[in-house]
Amino acid sequence: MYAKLAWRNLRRSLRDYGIYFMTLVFAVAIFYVFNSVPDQPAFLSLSESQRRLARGAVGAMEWVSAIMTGVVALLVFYANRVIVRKRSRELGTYLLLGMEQGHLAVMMLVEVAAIGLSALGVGVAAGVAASQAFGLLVERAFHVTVVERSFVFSPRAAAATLVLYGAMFLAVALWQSAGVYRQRLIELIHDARKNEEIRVRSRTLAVAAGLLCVATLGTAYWLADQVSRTTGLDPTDRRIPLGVALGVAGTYLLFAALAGLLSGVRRRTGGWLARGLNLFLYRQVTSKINTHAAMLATVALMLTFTVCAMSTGLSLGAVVRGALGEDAPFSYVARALEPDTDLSGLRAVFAAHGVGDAQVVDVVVVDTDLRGADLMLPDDAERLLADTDIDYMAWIAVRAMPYSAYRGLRALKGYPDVPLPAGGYLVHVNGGHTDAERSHAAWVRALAAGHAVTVAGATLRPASTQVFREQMGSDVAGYGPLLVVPDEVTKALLQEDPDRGLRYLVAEVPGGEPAGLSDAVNAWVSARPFEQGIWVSSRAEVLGQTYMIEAIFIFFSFYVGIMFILISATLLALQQVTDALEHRQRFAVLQKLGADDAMIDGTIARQVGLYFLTPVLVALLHSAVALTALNRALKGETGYEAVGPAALATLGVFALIYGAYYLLSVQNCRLLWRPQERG
Amino acid sequence: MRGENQRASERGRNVPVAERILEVVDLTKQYGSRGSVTHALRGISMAVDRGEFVGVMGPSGSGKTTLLNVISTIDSPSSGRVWIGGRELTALRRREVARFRRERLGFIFQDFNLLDTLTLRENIGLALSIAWAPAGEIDRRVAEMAERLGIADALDKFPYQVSGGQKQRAAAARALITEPDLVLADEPTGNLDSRAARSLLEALAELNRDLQTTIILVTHDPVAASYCQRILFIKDGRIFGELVRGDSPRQRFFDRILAVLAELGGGEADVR
Repeated sequence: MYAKLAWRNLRRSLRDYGIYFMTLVFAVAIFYVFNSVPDQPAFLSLSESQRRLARGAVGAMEWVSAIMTGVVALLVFYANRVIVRKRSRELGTYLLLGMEQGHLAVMMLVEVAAIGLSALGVGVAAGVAASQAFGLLVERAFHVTVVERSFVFSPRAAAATLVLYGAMFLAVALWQSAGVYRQRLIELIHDARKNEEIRVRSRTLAVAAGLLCVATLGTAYWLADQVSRTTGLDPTDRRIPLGVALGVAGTYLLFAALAGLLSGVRRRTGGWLARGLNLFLYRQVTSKINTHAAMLATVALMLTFTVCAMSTGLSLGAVVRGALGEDAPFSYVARALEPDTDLSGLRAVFAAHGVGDAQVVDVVVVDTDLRGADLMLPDDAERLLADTDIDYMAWIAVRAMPYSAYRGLRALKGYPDVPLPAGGYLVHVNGGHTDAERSHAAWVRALAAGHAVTVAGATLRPASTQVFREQMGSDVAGYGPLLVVPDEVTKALLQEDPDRGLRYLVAEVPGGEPAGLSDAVNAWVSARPFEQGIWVSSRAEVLGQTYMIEAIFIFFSFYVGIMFILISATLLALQQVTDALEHRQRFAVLQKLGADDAMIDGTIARQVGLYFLTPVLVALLHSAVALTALNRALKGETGYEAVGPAALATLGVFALIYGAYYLLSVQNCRLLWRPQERG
Repeated sequence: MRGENQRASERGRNVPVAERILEVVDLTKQYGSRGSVTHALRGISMAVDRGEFVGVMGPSGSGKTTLLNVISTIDSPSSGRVWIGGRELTALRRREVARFRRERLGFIFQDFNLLDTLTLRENIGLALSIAWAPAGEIDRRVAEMAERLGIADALDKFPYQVSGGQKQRAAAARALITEPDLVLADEPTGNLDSRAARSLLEALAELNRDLQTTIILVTHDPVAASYCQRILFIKDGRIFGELVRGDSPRQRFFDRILAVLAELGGGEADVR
């Protein structure tokens, strides 16, 4: 008998709360899929440097997964509480009929555990199925191609999923049944009656809350704007946590105010409220906002976090890829610690793969005693050196490069040729930097004034009034100003102190990468003695890393984002479904008043829609402010404006998932109010 | 323990000595704390013998539901004692309370009625299943009780498929099937039309006559109360008065009830 009872109850729970079950399945499946990525065949095709990055990401992944599981646990806990609360009457019946409290607790334990464990089973199965398709996505994200395709299964991820989620479901089931065990019958009666209360809020309090809300949110938005214009992405700025705290408080105040203000509106005859079921709709929505104000505010904040996190993740990824990608303008850069190292072997490797001498440049770069400030006029130098603001350009040591090498590098990339007469110097700053605008201006002034610079005993004068900014890569050109001088000067510097020189071999391969070149280069490098300090960096590899980094950003932001959307939408759907179950008779009354099925169905759709829409609107408002500020800060810091497309992509995913849950909730509620076959 | 009391149907009406089923002594119940205390019951004493059909009437807020909650082990008193079938309620431990409810009490409450996932047959049988009765015996007794209450043809339907009257009769069947010492009914005719209400009350009265089932009926409806043999009137947490039907025909008893209610409701101040 108990078995039949438990089974029937289980079927009913699955039917009534199908949306919740579905979310659990998704959560488990997503957990499995994302944790199985390291075991995807695409991973095996990664380069060593990419794999290193990946391993670091996997470590972070484990932390994020644990946190997400915790958040899902909160959802499971909350949902179970809501569901059991709704069954107060039923549980009371069992107790009154004389069922022992221990037996009831066990029955509840079995029910809750069964739902959780079946979600686990279905979820893992779904996850395994999804990871087959996900593998293709991973390949594209990493820009690798997998030769051998096989069935993807990650025992490690499966084990982690089963253990973590299994433990979580069991823990919640135990907690729940312990609560039922302790529950007194009189409390169940009160619970059953309490659900029908509609709290009446004071109007003055609501107005006060509203004013306070405007104040807090206004301040929060203003702070965001201020921060973005000044310190930008500096995480230590105390205004950021302050702004966030104000935003959170303001959101709760907003919903409290809404609840109080909306429910007090009197019906005006002849208005929209007088038509059809609009009055009913209005009361339904306001009563639900009233009852669930705190939860709606929490959902709004979660959604804000989702939109911001996903947009930020995507845009940062794009920015990193762009910035890093730009920093590798040459196909290969080899570096040796000793200026006189023999790199002819490497040249031979290049030649063997069709990269002739014309495409290879030998560069020696030497450190000088000069600093950035020494390239400026005395007044500027003094001013910038004394400046406590972050403009490090004045302090950075200046590197010197021989003109022949510089010319060769410019030719490699097709940059216009720049002449250097005897006794002249040029200034090159790699890529420019918005941070260093003032230093740049100072250098330009110095060049215009013919500022003389003394290096290795030679006094040089500017050969051009322009500070050159083409991309040479920070490997060769460094982060500070590069002084291009006649070849004899660098030779003299080296003679003074050979230790201050670095040797580079730069190769530019036009068109596609010749097959086997990168392996041959790596082989050559590994064969070199360690003391020579030789390494080689290839653009292909750097790009590979940037794709990796971008993929990791996308990966994490999608994982967290999707999970949060799922959880938020489920909370809302759960509220709607439990409310519908409890207040079924409201719709029966409407039917008796003569409202036809279509009218009632339409009202349900609008009611659920308004309920789902409210937190979204708030979230969009917050996100718009936050993301605009972020965009401004990013642009100031890096020169990139990537937030726009990222936000659009985020909103697309968001609308898809949220919209799906909305439609399902409407369907569910529509089914519930009709007398249907039950049991 | 069960052996002490023979099956009521075997006993028939030949009860030599009135057996006290329910005894309540000086029962009080308060809610709230410090500033706002509600005195729901202010010292109620009453007794019910086996085979009686007693009604408890009073306006809302009089404490009749609280009284019922305490008697039915749902709530515990602030002071005073309650004995049912010789066992004192406050002395019962949790496991004993569950057993007590299984074996000695039957409920027809509006809040705790039929489970919508079970058929009527399964609902009625649930009371016996919880008491671990063998399956064959359950089927037999359910059929018997359903026959008595006139719902035999609806047994395999679900609650949403039957009328309010049939649902209440199923609830009554469930309450009675375990042959409890005491059946407690809280507004059983609340949602029923007059015909279904009358049908249910007649069934209860019949069961009381034939099986000597002791029934306490809490109601505000004088029609329902007129089926009882004795009525206790409660007002402001105290017993206001008692009315015994004796040999009066039901209609006459009904008029007497109305008279007392008028006095209960208005009081001397309303007489102009």
